[in-house]
Order: sequence, then C-alpha cells, then structure tokens
Amino acid sequence: MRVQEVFGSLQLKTRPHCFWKQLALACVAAVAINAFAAASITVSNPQALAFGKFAAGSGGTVTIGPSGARSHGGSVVLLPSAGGSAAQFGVSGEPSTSYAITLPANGTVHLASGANSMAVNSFSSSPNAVGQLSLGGSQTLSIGATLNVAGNQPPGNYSGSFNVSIDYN
Amino acid sequence: MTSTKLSTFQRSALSAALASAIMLGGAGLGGNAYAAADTSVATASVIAPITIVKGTVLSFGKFAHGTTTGSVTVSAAGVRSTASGPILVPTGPAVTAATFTLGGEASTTYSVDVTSDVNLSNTTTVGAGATLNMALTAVNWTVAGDATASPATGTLAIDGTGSIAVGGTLAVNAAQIAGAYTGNVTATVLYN
Repeated sequence: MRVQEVFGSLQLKTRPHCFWKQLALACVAAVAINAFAAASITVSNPQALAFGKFAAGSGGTVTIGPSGARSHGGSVVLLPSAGGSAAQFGVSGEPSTSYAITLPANGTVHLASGANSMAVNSFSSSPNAVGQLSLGGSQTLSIGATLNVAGNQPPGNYSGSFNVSIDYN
Repeated sequence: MTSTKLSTFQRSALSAALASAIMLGGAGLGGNAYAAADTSVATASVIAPITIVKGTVLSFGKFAHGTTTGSVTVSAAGVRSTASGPILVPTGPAVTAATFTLGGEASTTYSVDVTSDVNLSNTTTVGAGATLNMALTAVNWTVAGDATASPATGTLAIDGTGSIAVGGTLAVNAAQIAGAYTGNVTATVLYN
C-alpha cells in the first residue's frame, strides 16, 4: 500500500512533464494549421469585365451589373449583338469561412485606347462586401461597374485592368 | 487500482492539451487576416455612330390615269413599270428610286426599316377631286452588297459606308385628277 502510494506520487510528478510535452506538440500543430489556411486561399479570374459594343452619342454611361445585365444612361447606344459580361472570380479557401471583398475605389480604374480613356467607377459585386465560402470551400464572386463615356468618345477598342482583394474576416 | 487512476489522469491531461491546441488554433485564425488578390481585364468597344443621309427622292415621273384603276411601280433600281390603267409619259420629271447614304462602324450589321406615308396627296390642285389621294401601296428596297429583296438587315462595308435604295408602288385611280402629288418615305437604320 505504501509502495503503491510512492509509486503513485512518482507518476504524478512524471505526468505534468508529459502534459507540457503534449501541449508543446499541440501548439506546434496549431501553428501548422494556420500556415495551411493561409496557403489554401486562392483567387482566379476566369471571366473579364466587358462593357460590349456601343456608340457614344453625346455621352453617358454603360453599366454592367454583377449579374451581367447591361444598361445605359444618357445618349449612349448599346449594340444588342455585342453585349457585356460581369467579371468573375473564383475564390477558394477554408470551407464555410467568410471573407471581406475590397473593390477598386472610384477614380482609380480607366480603360484606354491609345491616348483616349474612359473612367470605370461604382464597382459592385455579388456577393456584396462580404462573401462566404461554401462547405466545399469555394464561391464565385461576380463584379460589375459603370463606364463613363464622353460625348463623341473616339471609336476604338478600350481595355484596362482592375484589382479585387479578399481578406478572411 | 493505482494503474487505473494514472490512466484517468493521462486521459484528462491529453484532452486538456488538445483543448488548448484547438483554442490556440482558433485564436490564430481569428487574429490574423489572410488575403488574396487578383486582377481582371476590363474591355469596351466604342464604335462610330451610324448615320443616314437622304439622297435622291423617290420619283414616279409623269403619267396619265387610265380608264380603270391601276398602278405605277418604281423598282429600287429606278426602273418604272405600270399595271392596268395608267399610261406612262416618258418626258417630264426623272424617274428615280430614293437613296439613302449610310455611315458608321466598318463591317457592322444594322437593321433596316422603310416606311412611307399611306398616301401621296395632291399639292397643286384645288377644287373638286383634288382630295383624291394616290395610295402608296408598297415600298421595296435594296441594301448595298445584299441581293435580298427588302432585307431586314444590312452590313456596312469595310470602309464603314452603305446605302439603301427605295422604290414603291402607287395606286392610280381612274378618276385621279392632274396635279403634283407628294408624300414621305422614311428609312430607319439601327445597329444590331
């Protein structure tokens, strides 16, 4: 009985040591999980933002909604045969994780054709502002914007680029 | 007995360690923001506006009415013909199809629509019978570069030009009185 108690006391001294050792290992494991999460977030851009073809007239706007629907303002004339499309980004990462979407600010994006340019403002997205990855860890992010067309905007093929950032919440 | 106690402690120590790991893992995810960004291309095509300018007028020339109601037709090529009553007079105003000149974006398709007044009305004669109009019963047209009769669409040439020629058919009544008759033909083009 006495021996057993001593034995037990000895074990009690040994176990805390074992506990810290396990905790240390667990801490390493936790860091490794975080590192894996950072590596798994990806964004791809399978579809460009296209405003399609239009005649400028005396100026106005061309808007592409996140759904890809195109509309005009002012005297811009849209060609039905050459419509636009919303940009699409494929977001992949931790399943069921929400993320914040940062779209370009007004005045930062322009489309250019030679010396001529048009401003792209009022970016919008679906989902709006905050997205949530599916159980499979993915989501499609669709983005539209409004193009400002000057009166008698010189004809040409205009192009430019814009950045979209996502941050895990 | 003692062995059992020790085993219990070992299990609780292990679960405490795992709980800590999960807590730390959760804190790590919440405390750091992981970001990604990508760039998309954006495009737009501004094209030259489509324009239409009228050229020659649609002229049926000079003719006399017949003893029965008939018609005078001018083709889009400007060739005149008659059916039934009317008698064509070779002299007088030139017979012409109406022409419209188009301009716009090279190789771009557009829709065509040509409409006309229902009647040509007598603009020079007053009195009895002067209100009897001539009905413009049909318009027909051709589009440059297209052999189709009265096509619904056309395509601007590689230099961005195009043209439409318009003819028509006029119903001439046996009681039609002499005079100059006028009306309007309207051509509308719209980018597809």
